[in-house]
This record gives sequence, structure tokens and C-alpha cells, in this order.
Amino acid sequence: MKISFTLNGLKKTVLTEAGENVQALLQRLGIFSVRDSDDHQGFCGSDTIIFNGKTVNAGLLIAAQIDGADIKTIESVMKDGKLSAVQSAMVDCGLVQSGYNSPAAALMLTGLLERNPDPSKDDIMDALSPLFSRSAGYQPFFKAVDLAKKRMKDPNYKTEGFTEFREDLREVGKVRRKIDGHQLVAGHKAFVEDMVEPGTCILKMLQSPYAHAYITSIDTTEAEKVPGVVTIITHKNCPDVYYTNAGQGAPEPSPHDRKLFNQKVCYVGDRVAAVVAETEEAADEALKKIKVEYEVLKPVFTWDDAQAPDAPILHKSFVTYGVGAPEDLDEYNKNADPRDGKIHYPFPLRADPHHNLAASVKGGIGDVEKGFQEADVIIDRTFATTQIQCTPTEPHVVFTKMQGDRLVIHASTQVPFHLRRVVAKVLGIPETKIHVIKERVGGGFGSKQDVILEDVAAFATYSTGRPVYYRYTRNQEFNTCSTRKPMRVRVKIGAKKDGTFTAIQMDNEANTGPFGAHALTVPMNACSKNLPLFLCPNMYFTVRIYYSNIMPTGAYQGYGAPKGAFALNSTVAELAEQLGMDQIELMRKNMVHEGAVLEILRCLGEGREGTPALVQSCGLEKALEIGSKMIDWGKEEASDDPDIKIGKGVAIIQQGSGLPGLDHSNAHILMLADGGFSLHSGAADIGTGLDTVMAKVVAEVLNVPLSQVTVMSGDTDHTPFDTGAYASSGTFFSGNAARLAAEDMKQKILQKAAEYLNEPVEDCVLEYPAKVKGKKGEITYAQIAYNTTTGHGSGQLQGIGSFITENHAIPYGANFAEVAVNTRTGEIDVRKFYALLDCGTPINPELAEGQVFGGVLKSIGHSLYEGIILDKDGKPLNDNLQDYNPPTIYDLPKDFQAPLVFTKDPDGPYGGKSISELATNGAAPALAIAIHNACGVWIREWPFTPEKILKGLEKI
Amino acid sequence: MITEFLKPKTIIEAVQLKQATPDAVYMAGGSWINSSRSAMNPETVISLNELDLNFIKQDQDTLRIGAMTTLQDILDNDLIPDYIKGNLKLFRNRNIRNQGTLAGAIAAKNPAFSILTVLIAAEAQLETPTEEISVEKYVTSDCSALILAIRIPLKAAVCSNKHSITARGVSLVSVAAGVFEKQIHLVVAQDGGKIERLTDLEIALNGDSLPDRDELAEKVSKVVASFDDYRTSAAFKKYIAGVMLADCLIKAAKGV
Repeated sequence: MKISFTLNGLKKTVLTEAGENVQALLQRLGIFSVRDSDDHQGFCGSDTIIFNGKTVNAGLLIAAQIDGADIKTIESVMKDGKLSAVQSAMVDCGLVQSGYNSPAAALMLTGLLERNPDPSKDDIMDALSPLFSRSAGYQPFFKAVDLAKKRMKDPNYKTEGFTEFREDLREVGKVRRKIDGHQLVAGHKAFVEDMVEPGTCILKMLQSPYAHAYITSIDTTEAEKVPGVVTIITHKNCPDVYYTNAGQGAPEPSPHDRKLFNQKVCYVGDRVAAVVAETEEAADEALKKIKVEYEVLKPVFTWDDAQAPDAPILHKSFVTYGVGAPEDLDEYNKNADPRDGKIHYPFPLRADPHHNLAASVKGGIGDVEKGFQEADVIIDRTFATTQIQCTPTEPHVVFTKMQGDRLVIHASTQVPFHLRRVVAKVLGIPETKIHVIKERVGGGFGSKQDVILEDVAAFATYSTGRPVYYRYTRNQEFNTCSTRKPMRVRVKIGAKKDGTFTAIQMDNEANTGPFGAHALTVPMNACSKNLPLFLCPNMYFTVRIYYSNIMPTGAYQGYGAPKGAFALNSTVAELAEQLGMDQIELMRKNMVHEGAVLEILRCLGEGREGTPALVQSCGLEKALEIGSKMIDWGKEEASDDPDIKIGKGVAIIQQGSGLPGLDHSNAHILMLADGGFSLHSGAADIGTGLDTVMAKVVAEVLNVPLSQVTVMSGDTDHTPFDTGAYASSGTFFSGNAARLAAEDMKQKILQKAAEYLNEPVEDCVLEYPAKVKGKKGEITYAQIAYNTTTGHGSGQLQGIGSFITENHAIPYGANFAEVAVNTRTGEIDVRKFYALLDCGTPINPELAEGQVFGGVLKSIGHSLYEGIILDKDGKPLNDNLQDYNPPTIYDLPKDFQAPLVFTKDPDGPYGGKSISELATNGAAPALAIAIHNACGVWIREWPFTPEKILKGLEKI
Repeated sequence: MITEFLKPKTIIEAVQLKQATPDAVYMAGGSWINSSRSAMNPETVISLNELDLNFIKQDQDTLRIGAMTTLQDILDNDLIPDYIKGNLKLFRNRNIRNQGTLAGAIAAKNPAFSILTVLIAAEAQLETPTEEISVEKYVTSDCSALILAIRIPLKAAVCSNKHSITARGVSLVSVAAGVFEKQIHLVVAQDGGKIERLTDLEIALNGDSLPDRDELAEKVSKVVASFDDYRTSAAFKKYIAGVMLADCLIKAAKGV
């Protein structure tokens, strides 16, 4: 049918099907800002448009409904390419992080301010009620609306309400506009889906209906005959290459236990066959015509079942080792079943796959048994956490194409260089034949650290020569993606009567699902990011990770730390109660401080021997001091309602700043013709503002305004190697590499300036802005650039920086919660949440604050609401956002604050340390302790539901 | 996929189109029909957009809401009683309310739409081309008549509540109590289950002074049938339905 409507003030007439989805139609018309995050279910609001004056979800409209309508998108609010007051306020308040649905949020707020120029907090929440965003935890929106109101009257109104740091610096620690903020909030082309070219084939996957089965036959003959089908890939015609999809540094501490397609399917949703076709319809028809027969096996879903003597085995595989093979390997392999394929360990992980053990480790310091013997009190508790979905608003997506004999991968990834390495291995080609371009990433949170779908699209393109687009549906995000590993953590603490810890033991079991990506390192993190919080001479830990037939697991923001923090802090709180001590007093008596040496890290290296760490900066005491005052720690709060009981909780937390001794970042900087600088870094900014961190550091070193620095990052052809955005490495590693490159450039500028000024180099100094001053004269960078790049010059100035370290820059923090528990309904109301985090020098204070709100709210969601639930056959029951229940703006704590605790780490770039992962670690224990304080019930399993409260109170 | 979008100009024409194409569905705002969550996937829809059904009118002690009135327009209208506004404010989000209609929510018969319990407790009636039918009868039967308007008596004192995992999550248990000329109406809906009036309990409670809240809650819990699902147990749902409905009834009885 033909429909006519007004789009952003212009009349449009288009030919369409009556039922064409309007979100898809607008994309077809070149409006990229209207996106789909929820399979058109109206949950995320990424598809928000203004339809006849009101915001609606384009994905819930069909084309016939907009015939004659007036449609506006974000493009309508910008004038002359400039951001509106709402848009600029959102960027300046740190809200535009991953940015996937920032244009939608801007439209919602634009509509709000048009109908109500002075909205209340409730009005703002109502306006943003259609928005789902994980990045900045909603809280900064209240500040942004206030700023937008002021900018509507005065477009030059300055950003306010943020604490800035380091008066001695110009850019670092100051509120500056995120360098990709404009692009994202304006809805410009930025994401993988925006790069797809006409004529690109669609990839669709046939997924296993069984949790555990052998494919006994697969017939694609009829499917291949469907017009438009280009190729079908199965275990029969895929490369015989085993790898891990974990985006970790090589050699990875993860077993290489999968091929592109395996003969054995190991979870509901596992890959069976990929159809590549010229149209979606052809792909769908072909999927229906693939004939598969299965030999269905008994599945196993829990760690207890996985380690049972008669447990079904997922990987009765033929095992090989890169180094360190056990002597009895030949004997071990006699039990292998060829249909289970192979597993290769680059180095030993103390695994026993023939008994579902994916990896294990144990270690400690001192003598833990002696420590328990010396204790006056011993407490021993066990905790469990659930399988959590990362829920990025941009689903996993990839676009692959050939450029000559080279494969180009447009990726939404946290690890462009690891992605290139893994794909090169799978395809059996040199890395020189692959170009990975990391586009803007619409939310990663760990799940885009792994090679989730790029491998199969890359193979499809490389083997057919055809461009291929593969985008997960939201449903696939839930049934065939990477998730947080469920864990069971037992903590045993021995203490003297005065509270001095004599021994701590931590026993961890994790469920890695069908593959061993991050199997060892996630649960190890429960130990390595928590045990060092306390200075106890005797510590011991065990970690055992089991295969099972749940959906795949991998990395998630915080890695294993939030689970360990939940268990350890809760046990410490219970111990304090037993000792009759205040919890903070008990923590202070034992906790880490500046100058301490963390011996326990010697045995917690990730796949290698670790090194003890000297704590050079620690804001823990300051965080506890400030937070205690904010929440009035120790004061009992009463409610007017006798059903309501109020309680308070606190947790101390730490994370890392990358992986010393493992991570590695590089940067390269060029002086441009006008004296500005172009930084080339392998770092992957996934929305956190890492590009802005690096630009600020460079501007600071080189004494130029931020506008004089541009950043090219995450492109394997055009930037040097970086391990990627994980383990909280960005600011510390990539930021330091940028600093070193800038410092190298600084020396070269000084040398050239000295030469041109004819003065000794020691007499020359950089002066703001962009010049070198000697004792006799001065020269601008622009003049130096001109001199060096003329035909007689010495060539363009270039600086390089490479950062490795054995030093740790550990970020610390304390989380305080106040909850009101309704003892009649079990309802938990989070009245106050104060997250006080020490990230050293906050280089981007407004973005850091947003990341704390985002991380904490995620963690509140994990603690109170979320968790994937499987039916008895392994099929996820809550496989969409509405049933999965992540928090929205209405779930914010009533009083939510995130003061940044300043410290100055000597190894961080200008004192900076990491922040975003740390923010996810403290909510679970702070809430659990507050709930107990309120109503006397200890909940030791996520999520903390009203039903568990009522059971604890023996009401049901 | 919808391939035919019919746009009748009159109610008679709409009814005739439905008779001619029985598989066609009426579409008001379309927020439910077009959602992949509904899994309806009709080939033909009959749009109500060109019928004159977008109105809110007060007719003495009854409110008439046209079938094409959006939930947000209802929420923003001063004629609407607070008990309806309070419930609608919790309905999903503003985008959905800007598109969805009350008639659409009723036609979907979804027990997770807690507004249905409110309408039943308030003894709301539906105008259809051939008859007036109660909301209760409509949603608990296989009736699929075209809804033209909803009539809500204004004298009822109604109070509602719901249990969901997050503040705006799916309503797992919804309850509403209405007191209408000294008659008590008690309604419970459970996602994945059904919407039901607790008529036996209503009869037992009518005419007497109400027991205290705990006894009342226990009485409700006893008569509510429930089931375990992956989110909550039957025991929890029975308990929470009792607690919430007891509180609602006490408030409604006080005219709150």
C-alpha cells in the first residue's frame, strides 16, 4: 500500500506493506536513531518517536497506522546540527555513555519540557518510564532536566552540580563534554547496524531444542534449494578448529572446548546450523527445511548434579595440552568419545572434563587450620548467586565483508584485537588478512568481551565472499549469549574475642555452563577481589568450576567479585553480631590500608603465579567515614507504620585496575599540521568515556586544550595492540599508554623546539596553549608542525607509548544501604543507597558518577529482582526483558548518591584508577545486611524476594 | 504479518467487516496486537481509528469512556476518579499509555492488566453494538464483541493493589475491592491464571461489619486458588492476595 505522512516536517510518501513495522520502516528511510532493543515489545524505548505529538514506540506501530500522521524523531529537535538544550544537558551530565537509546531519552525529555516547563521528580520519572538503560542508572537525568531547563533560557549555561578534582590540572578531573557524546545523542550513524551495506546477506541460526544431545543426522539438501540461500554451515562443513570464545589474552586461561559447530549440542539454543541467505524470508524458509535427528541425552544443570558420581558428562573429549600435560594423559584419553570432540588446554587448569570439572585451583597463605584453632569464634556460612543476563540495549551484532582478499569485521566488541586473533585461528588465516573495526558499542557489560557471533559470520563471509549481517534478537540474547556465572560461596572466618581475624577460608563453586570461557578466572575473582580487603595472616581458598547444560556463561561487569563480596561481607556482618561488635568497627580492625602488602595475591594470579601487591592508595577509611555520617550509622530508625521495619547495611569492596603482568596497552600519537594531535590507541571505548580519558591525559601532558586532541581507537588496522576493555583496565592501562605516548611526543617537541629556537633543550618548557618557551624565544606547535613536515623538515612528529606493569592500582569503596522491610508483605523498599567509591583521580567526574549509579542499580537488580530461570528441560522461562525484570527508573533508591572519594594513585595516569566494575560489587551485601538489620532475616541467595522474607519471618 | 488494514467509517461497517472476515481483529491503539509479546499475528485488522470513539463524558453518576481514548488521556482527564488514575499510572509506561486504550486492555483479557480488576470491582459496563455487558462477563467469557465505550459508575469506592517483581513489572497478582451501595466486590487476577470475583466471600461479608485485617486476609487467602510458577509459589500468591485485598477492602469501606 502507499502511505503518506510527515516526517520531521517533510511530506513522505512510501510504498509499504500495511503491517510493516514502523521502526523498521524508519530505518529503511534512513532514520537510524530509532532503534530496536526488545523485539518490539515496548520495554526499552529505544524506538521512541513522537507520533501526532505524543511519544510512542515505533516498534509497536504498523505502517498503515501512520498514514496521514505527523512523525518526529530526534532529528527534528536539532537546529543547524547543534544539540538541543536537552541533548547537551544529557551529555554534560554523563548520561550519554553507550548511547544506544540516548536519542530516545532526549525525545522523551523534550516532550516532557514542552508539556511541562517545570517538571517535578515524579514528572521526570513518568516521562522516562518507557526507557530501559543500564549505563548511568537514571539518577543523573534529574540533574540533566534541571540543566536543560536553564539552557532553554540561556544556551550557554554552564554545567553544574558535579565535584571537580585536581585544581593543578586543566582537563583531568574536570567536567568536559564526552568526545563522542554529540554523535551518540544526535542519533548519527555510530553502531554496527548503521554500517550495513545494501546487498548484505542475513545470517540466521537453527538452535537446539535440547539441552544435551548428539546430532545423529543433519540434512540441508532441501534448505539449500530455497531461492536466495547462499550457504548453510553445520558441524559437517565448519573448520575443525577448537578454540575458546573468551576474549582474554593469549594463552587464555580458558579451555579450547568448542568448534564453530559441534556434533554435540550442550544447551537449549546451542548452534545447530547457520543459514546465510539474501533475504530474511529465504533464511526463515530454509531454517524450516533443515532436517535434524538427535540422540537426546540426560542433561545436568547444577553444580551438585554435575559432580555426582553418575552425572551425565558434557565433554568426554580427547584432551591435549600446550604445556604441562599430565603423565597419564594417554590413559585419560582412552575414555574419550569422538562425538564429543576435543579440548585443548594452552596450560593446565587442573581440570577433569570427564567428570564435568572445567577448572579448579586452590591456595592460600599462612596456616588456616592453625588460625581456626586460635580463634575464639568461628562462623561458617554458604551463599548462592544466580545466572544473570547482561542486557545491553544494543544486542550482539556483527557485519562482515570482504575487501579484496581481506576480511573486514564491523564489530560491537570490547576486545577488537582478541577478536581478530580468535577469528584468524578459526579461519586458519594470518591476522594480516583481517581488519576489525570496533564501532560504538551500545552496552557491553562483559558480554561483548567474548566472541559470541563474530566467528560464524566471519566464516560465512570468508567462505562465500558475501557480506553478512548477524544480529541477535532479544530472545537470543537470553538463550544463547554470555551470562554471569552462578556461584556458591562458602566463607569461614575465625576471630579472637576482640575481633582480630585469625583465619579466613573461602570455598567457591561455579557453574560455567556448556563451555569453559572464563571458567577459572571469574570464580577466582571472588577470592582475588575480596580476600585482600582484610589483612589476615591465614587465608585459604578453593575454586571448582563445573560444566553443565545451562546457557553459556562468561564475563560480566565485576566478574566474580560481586559474589565474593556478598558472601564475605555478609559473613563479617554476622560475625560482628556474634561478637557483639559494630560491623564497621570489626571491619576497621582487620581491613586493608595504604602501605599494606597483599601477600594473598601471590597465589591469585590469573593462570600464572601472582605477585604480592603494595597498596599505594586506599580510600576505604575515608569512604567509611563519609558514608557513616551520611547514613547516620548506628542510629536506629523507626517507622510510623508498625509493619515497616527499617535497617541499615554496609559493605566494603575493591576491584582491580586491569591485570598487572598480563594486560598490555599501546598508543601512538601524531602531531597534525596545525599543531593539534591525533592519538591512535587500541583501547576499546564501550561507552565509558575511555576515549575522553585518553584525550584529556594527552591534552594535559602536551599543554593543549581538549579540542586539540582527536582519538582513533579500537581499529586493528589503524591502532596499536591493546588487550581491550575488560578487567577494569581502560583508565589504568590504556590511559597510561596514552600518557606515555604523549610524554614521548613532549620530548620530541622539546627537542625540535630547542633546535628551532637554537637553545639547549633543558631551557625549553611546554606552555599552554600549544607552544614551547625557551629562555630567549618561543615557538608554537603549529610552527613546529609546519617546519617538520615541509620538504626540508625532519618528518611528522610521532610519539609512542607502551604500558605494562606489575603494580596494582586498586580501587576501593564502601556501600551503605537503608531499607524498609514491610513485614506483612515482604516488600523491600530501598530508601537510601550511598556508594562511595575511590577511583583515585576521577578523570571524567560526571561519567564516573554515572557509571557508579549504573553499576549499583544493576547490582540492586541482581540482588532483588533478576536471574535466569530454566524449566526442567533447560529452556529459559523468562527469556524477554519484561519477564526478566531488570530495574527501571521506578526502582531507584529514594535517596541515591555516589560521592567520589579522592585519592591519588602514584601509578595511575594523573592518579586515576578504575571505577565501573567496582560499582557492581557492594549492593548485594549492603542490602542483605540492611534487610537483616531491619527484620532479623538473613537471605543468603539471590534474589532477595518478598517470598523469602516472608518465609524467613515464618509468615508463609 | 498484517496484510490488510481495514478502515471502516461507521460502527455498522466495522461490524459488517468483522462478520465478513471472522479472523480479522479490531485494532484500537495496536500496542498489544502489534507487540511480539502478544503473538497474535493477525493477517487482517479492522481499525477503529476513524470511528468517533475518542471521548470522556460524565453522564450524571456514570462516566463514559470511548473505546479509542488512550490510557494516558484517561490519566490526564480531570473527570477520572483517583482510584482509576492510581492504577493506570502503574500501567507499563507513558509510551504504551499514549498508544494503548482502555478498550484494548479489556479486549486483551490479560490477567496481568491490573486495571481489569478495578473495572470489575467498580461494576463497569461495556457498550457494544448489540448489548451492554459487564466488564466481568466480557473478560471471563469468550465474548469478542466490538467495544464502543466503557461506562463506569462514579458512586463506587474502589481500591486496588498489585504485586510485581519490579515497580513496573508484570502484575503477578492484582486485586481490587469495591464498595458499591454497601455491596462488596472482591476481584483477584493472577498472571498466567485467571481473573475472578470472590463471590462466595462477598456474600459472606456483605451485611456484616468487616473482620480485622488479618482475619480478612486469611479469609481471602483461603478462597483464592493459585498455582506455583517460576516466579512465585502458590502459597505466596494466596498469602499476598489476602493481605493486599484485605487492606483494599478496609480502605474502600472507609470510602478512601
